[in-house]
Amino acid sequence: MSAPMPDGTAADGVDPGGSSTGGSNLERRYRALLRVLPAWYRDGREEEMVEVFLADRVDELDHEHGWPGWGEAAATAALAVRVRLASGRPAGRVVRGVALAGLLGHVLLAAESVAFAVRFGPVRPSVFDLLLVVAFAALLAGRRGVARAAVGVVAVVAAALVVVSGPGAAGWWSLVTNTALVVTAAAVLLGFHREAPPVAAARWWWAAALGVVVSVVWAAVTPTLVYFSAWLVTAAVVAVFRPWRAPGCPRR
Amino acid sequence: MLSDITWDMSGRGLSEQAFLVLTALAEQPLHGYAIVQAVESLSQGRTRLRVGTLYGVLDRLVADGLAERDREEVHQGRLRRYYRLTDAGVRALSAEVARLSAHVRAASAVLRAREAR
Repeated sequence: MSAPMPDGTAADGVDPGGSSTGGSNLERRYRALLRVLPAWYRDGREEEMVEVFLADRVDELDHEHGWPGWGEAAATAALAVRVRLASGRPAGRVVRGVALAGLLGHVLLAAESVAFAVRFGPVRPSVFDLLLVVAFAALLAGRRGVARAAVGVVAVVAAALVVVSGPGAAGWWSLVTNTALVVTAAAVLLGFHREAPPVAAARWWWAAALGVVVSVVWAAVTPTLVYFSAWLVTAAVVAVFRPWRAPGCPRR
Repeated sequence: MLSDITWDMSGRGLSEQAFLVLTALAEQPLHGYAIVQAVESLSQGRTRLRVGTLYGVLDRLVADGLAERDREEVHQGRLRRYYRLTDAGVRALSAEVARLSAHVRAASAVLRAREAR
């Protein structure tokens, strides 16, 4: 039975001449590649995609020994990511929620750091803080290219810090704090692709403003920094909005 | 509402792939492989759509209401699904042609002025 596609299409009524169980080695290999796509998507598109793929692969030797090729594999993998993280898909809502919540958490930590330094000691400027604030603001302003570039730098540097920190307590601390950076960056890069829905900027600006005030007050009156802000904010956003269930996640 | 991916990163026009697919569909409804061939021809061989890329573009065009499913045929035992341009697709393509034409005219004027110096 064929599941309907988002546009209402379905692959019913097809006699898959090279059926999903038959056909050449090349066809079987291409069908295996298509398994990276969600099952509901394959139900509606697989036969159509196989037809297009095989249309100009007519050589018998190619059918016996040929493979889809790296370019086709990459395009199919990219399609699989886009389909899963598309607007309206639960995985997409979760990833974009994690991205924005993670960035918000790091913005709050940056505010805490500045307030703490002003109150208790010399400021320790962090390039991470600046880049993550820029990424957060850029996402809300619709400048996704800027946001992706900023978090890309953060992800590379954070991953390098984890590697060079080595074993021991320092290593574990680096792993916990920098993993939050890498996870946030990965969520931004994956979730805010070109077809991602626009962000409900006003809601996130208000959340950031309120959070910054609370963070500054916290850091000014208590000599502690909440290094796990990103984890805490992300957990709170995911727990409250449960983006995998409701389309009302703070994403648009 | 049009999704971002149909349009280029700046939001000022159609992406090149979407533009070529819409242009291919402007003449007549086409099935997937015919779209691949038409795009390659329109781009004079510069753009060869992978199957995964083609269906990413088609999904977005359909979601944006610029293209729609036309009919299905079974060709040598395999499904061929045809797509056609919608009225919104015609308007989007026309707007993009006008936008690109304006750019071409502006660039041509600049080059002529440069040559005249």
